Amino acid sequence: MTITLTSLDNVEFKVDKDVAERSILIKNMIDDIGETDAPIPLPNVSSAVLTKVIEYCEHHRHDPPQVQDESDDPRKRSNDIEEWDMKFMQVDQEMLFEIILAANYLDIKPLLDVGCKTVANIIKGKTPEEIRKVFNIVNDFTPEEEAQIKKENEWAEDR
Amino acid sequence: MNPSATDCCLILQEVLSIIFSYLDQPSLIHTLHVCRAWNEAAERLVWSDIRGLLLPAPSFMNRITQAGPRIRRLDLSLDLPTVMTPKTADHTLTKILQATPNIQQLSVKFPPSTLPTAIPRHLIIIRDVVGSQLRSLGLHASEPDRDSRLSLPFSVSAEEALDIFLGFTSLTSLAWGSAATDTLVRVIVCTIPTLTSLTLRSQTFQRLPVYDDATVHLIGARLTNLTQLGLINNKTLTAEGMIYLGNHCKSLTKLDLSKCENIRQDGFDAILSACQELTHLNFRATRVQNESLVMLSAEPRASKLRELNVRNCELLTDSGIAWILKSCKNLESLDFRGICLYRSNFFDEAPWVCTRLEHLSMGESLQKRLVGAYPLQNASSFLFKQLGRLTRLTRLEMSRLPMNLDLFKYGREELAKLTALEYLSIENNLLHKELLWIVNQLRTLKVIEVSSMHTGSSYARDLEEVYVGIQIKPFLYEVSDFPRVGLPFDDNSDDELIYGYPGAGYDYDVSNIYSGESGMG
Repeated sequence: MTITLTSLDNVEFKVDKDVAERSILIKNMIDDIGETDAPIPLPNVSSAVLTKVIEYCEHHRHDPPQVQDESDDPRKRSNDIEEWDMKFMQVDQEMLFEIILAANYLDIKPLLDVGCKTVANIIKGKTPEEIRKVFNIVNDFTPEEEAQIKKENEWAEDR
Repeated sequence: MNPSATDCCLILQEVLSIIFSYLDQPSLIHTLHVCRAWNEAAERLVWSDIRGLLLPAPSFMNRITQAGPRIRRLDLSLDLPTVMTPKTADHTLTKILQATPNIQQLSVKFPPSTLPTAIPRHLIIIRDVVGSQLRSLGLHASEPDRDSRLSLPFSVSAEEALDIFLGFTSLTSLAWGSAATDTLVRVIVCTIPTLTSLTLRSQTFQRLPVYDDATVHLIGARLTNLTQLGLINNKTLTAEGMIYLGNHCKSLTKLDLSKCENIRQDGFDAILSACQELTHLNFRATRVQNESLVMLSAEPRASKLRELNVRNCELLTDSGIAWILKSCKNLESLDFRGICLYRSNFFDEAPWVCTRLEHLSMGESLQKRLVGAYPLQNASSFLFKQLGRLTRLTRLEMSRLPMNLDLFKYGREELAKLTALEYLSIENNLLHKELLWIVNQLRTLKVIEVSSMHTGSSYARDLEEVYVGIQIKPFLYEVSDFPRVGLPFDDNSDDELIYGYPGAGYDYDVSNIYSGESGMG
């Protein structure tokens, strides 16, 4: 059975049900309204991003459900990205963030994780100034605030 | 249907928190300084998990009182630069714990100067303030890796222990880092039957009665939910204890028996065949034999193995290691330092399938060259080919491999593929140009260990100055696991280190022995 999805810019996508249900949001919608031919609107996702998301879901359609990480460690590892996923994530930064936001909205946890790990790997080892440059972020701290943060975290940076 | 600005902020904060949860502490600290939104998201994480603190850093107490409720995990080190009086130490501990009411995991590291009487007092404070909510408690002596003779063993009497541990009603994980006596273990097992993780370290030089096979039986029988067990440095445990354990604890996933040198092969057979779910094994300095590694190399358990440490296991040989390297594809950490390489084709027999390895430690054996009659330069070319496929390595230790590396002839192309490497130990008579090449090529490196010949020279200092961020350290050869190999020390020389001696071959130069902290080069 196929499902029709409509993107923000009104493009229709026909995908297999098991592919669409990689998204928990869509799965819940289908469970709620029952099987229908009516297209499902996704007003937060553009067609360019949705194309990428569907590509991901198709590649991972047979993946077993994710096991919950049972370790208590709040720090997770970011160096275990699979090769296909790594290639998939080689997009420009704007697209990378769009994919993350879409994965968050559509509730596709494995895609969200891979996206966040990719960004974390970009951040690692960079100074604050380098980070701002890479992500085009404006430093909105006042000099006083900046000094304050520096002072507060001295103990952590000494180590 | 555009989301409102507040929604946007909430989503951004949520996503940032996920991204930041993949960062290490130094990177996380950097994100604090980027901008307001990032600062807000990172703050929560920085303070939810505090490790390795030196107390009391000037700004620490102020901040901990502000951020206290957010802290869920705390690693305290009471290892102070100045000596604290017992009263101040108690007071500081109470104050910190009162400021962190939602803490779930606590680990405390005691300095060598801690008086044995202070330990029960500290434990009572912990119990009274946060005891009922703690899920994980770790108590460690100052040097967690070595049974230093300088640190006093800490222990408590049966009555004290009973009184203390009855107050920890939510505990699922306990680590006792020093002198686990028989009575103490029995009290722990009987008062906290909900434990899923238990680590007990013994001290050899003290005449305290250590727990024995019968107590291990009790651990197995009482702690039915146990999945992680560490019985460290206990010289009285035998195969009997392992048979008991195997009968009870079939769902163990992590097992640490390091330095339990009286467990014979039948003990390892029993525990490994009973526990099919094991993923993390530490058999450092035990009498485990090749048969056990062959057993671990058979599917389905071969792909379950994540971590294996068989450093300095004197009955193991390279044929056991070869089985692991060609079978365990999900291995993330392997340490076989001190294992002799007898097989001339060890490095080219079969491709190493463990491409997920992040930590690999080898070498440091007493032999001077590969035993087989193989042309040595070929051995190194095969070694580098295998290494070039382990692209996830972050830590590689290969000091004192018994051969010439010929880095420029065979290694350059392959080593350059290790783009995640942060720690490299390579005390193999490197030439200056080879060291320069490594430092220049492997830009992810943070620490490199080379022979003291290099680190003693101004060349290393120059390199450190040019390539900021890299640390060039002397390789230290630790002899603590080799009490019986005829080195010129007595049996109690646990704490002595020798500098790697870069002379001809790997003979020991007695003049290089030093003890204590002084005399760096």
